[in-house]
Amino acid sequence: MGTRILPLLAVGLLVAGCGGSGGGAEQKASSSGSSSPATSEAPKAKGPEDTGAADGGGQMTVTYDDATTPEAVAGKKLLQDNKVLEDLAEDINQTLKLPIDIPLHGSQCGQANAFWNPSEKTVTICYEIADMGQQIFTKAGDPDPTSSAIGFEEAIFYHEAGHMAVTLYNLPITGKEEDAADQLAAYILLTPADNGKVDAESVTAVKNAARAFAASATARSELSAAQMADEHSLDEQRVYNLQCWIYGSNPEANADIVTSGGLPEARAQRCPDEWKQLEHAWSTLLDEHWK
Amino acid sequence: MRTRILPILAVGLIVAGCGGGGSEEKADSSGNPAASETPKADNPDAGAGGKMTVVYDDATSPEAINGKKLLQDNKVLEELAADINASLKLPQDIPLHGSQCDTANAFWSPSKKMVVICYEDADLSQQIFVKAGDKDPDTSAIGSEEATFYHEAGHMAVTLYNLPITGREEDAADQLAAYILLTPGDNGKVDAESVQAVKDFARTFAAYAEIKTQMGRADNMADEHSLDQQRVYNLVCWIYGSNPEANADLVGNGGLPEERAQRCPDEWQKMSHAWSTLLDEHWK
Repeated sequence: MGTRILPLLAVGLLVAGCGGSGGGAEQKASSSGSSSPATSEAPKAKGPEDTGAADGGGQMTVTYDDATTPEAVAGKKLLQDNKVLEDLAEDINQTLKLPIDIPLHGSQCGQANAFWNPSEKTVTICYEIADMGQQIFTKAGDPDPTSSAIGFEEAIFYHEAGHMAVTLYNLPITGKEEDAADQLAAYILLTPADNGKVDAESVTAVKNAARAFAASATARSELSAAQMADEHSLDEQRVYNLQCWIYGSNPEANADIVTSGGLPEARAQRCPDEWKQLEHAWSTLLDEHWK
Repeated sequence: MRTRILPILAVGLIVAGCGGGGSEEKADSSGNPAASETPKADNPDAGAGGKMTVVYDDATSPEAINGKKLLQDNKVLEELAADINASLKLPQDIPLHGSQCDTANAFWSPSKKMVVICYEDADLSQQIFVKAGDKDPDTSAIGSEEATFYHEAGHMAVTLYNLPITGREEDAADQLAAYILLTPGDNGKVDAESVQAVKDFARTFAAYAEIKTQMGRADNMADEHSLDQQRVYNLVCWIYGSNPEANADLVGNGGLPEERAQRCPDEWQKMSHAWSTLLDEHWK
């Protein structure tokens, strides 16, 4: 089995030295602030599970690696001050059975990205992507760009957690795994909690992920063979996918996505079905892996 | 481990020499045996008694007439239906229509539970391969239609078995076509014509992309389908990944970019695992 790192972004799409305008295509979660809405958004625990193959005793453990560059220092501060990685790890630890300990690293990567490493079994969130998120949402005029960026980090993390689940549980994933991972992030953030409600910040997280992809999409003009051949869908496609799932998860509440022109009608009309399908798939695939 | 009947069937049927054709499953013309099937399963829970039944609808336009002729003369739909009937448990009868659609397409209707192969699709495929200078454009076109059918069968399986499909269903359906055509039979070998069918399927998408460029049509980024060119690379990736040694010629030199190619064996393994797992209980 190849040891390939599964990056969040198609590396070829990244703008080098992403200090400026929205470079790479990343999944933005929403800003969740210092509370842990992520935890409350965790897909419903399925109740006490019998053994299963994995004993589920592993824990996700957080490490903040050193940062030296300005972007990494800024990104690390954003994450660490707001305990973003700790909250996300706690969410996983409360809800998913992990067969082994899984390190979750905040790291300086030299690029704005995030990774699941299937051979090392680690998740890495690059400081630079937190910094880039903050810059994108500052530039967009968000009243609380830090909040927006943090929410974006959530979505990014759950995308990588999707890859993690595929590896740990050997899930029968169809389609592009990168699309499936986007779906998992959407599934986790948009599925109603036991009270039947979806946390508004979680919906915003997905919207901000779409906004970040849109920001990076406009930076490119012509599509290369490498981009067309990439395992990731194109940034623009990911924008529409995310918009579709937000809309499909609750058409009434999110009708503005379509009326504002953010999602073509031809796609929108099938989004409720698309949402149901991804809900069915991910709930089925993860069913025996919840705590 | 289930016996992989489908690939074996594909092997056997492709060898059957047919006039100018090659890679199809032939029944007789006008869908005789299929039409005579009576439904055995009267409720979905029965699981396995349904049959795929073939109907060639009327054709009036030149493209449809030509496409119908290509399919019917070579018993393409009959053989594809026979393959399905020999290998998949169908909870109900599923009509497989050749039809004039006034567009080159093929589709699965989840509400009507039927597969339609548009005559114009076969006609367009033939035109593409004539233009490409293929020695036997009919064979190429028929192979491409086979792959098209298995793509629609992928949608059919998702509906009939309520499969937990991730990613774009359109990509998953492309994967099923590739899985069926590229998986070795019990003899450990993949039929060369099946591999060629996937290549020809990819070539039609490359041709569509070219046609759209010439027409000045922009890519539809919101569509449920991946872009034509993305589908080309996916299919080539899976051909390569299914047998890197035999298909090394597909990489580089304007073909499949190296960065994608190196992960294709892994990608093939994962999708093989996925589709074999999902269909495991549905084989006959």
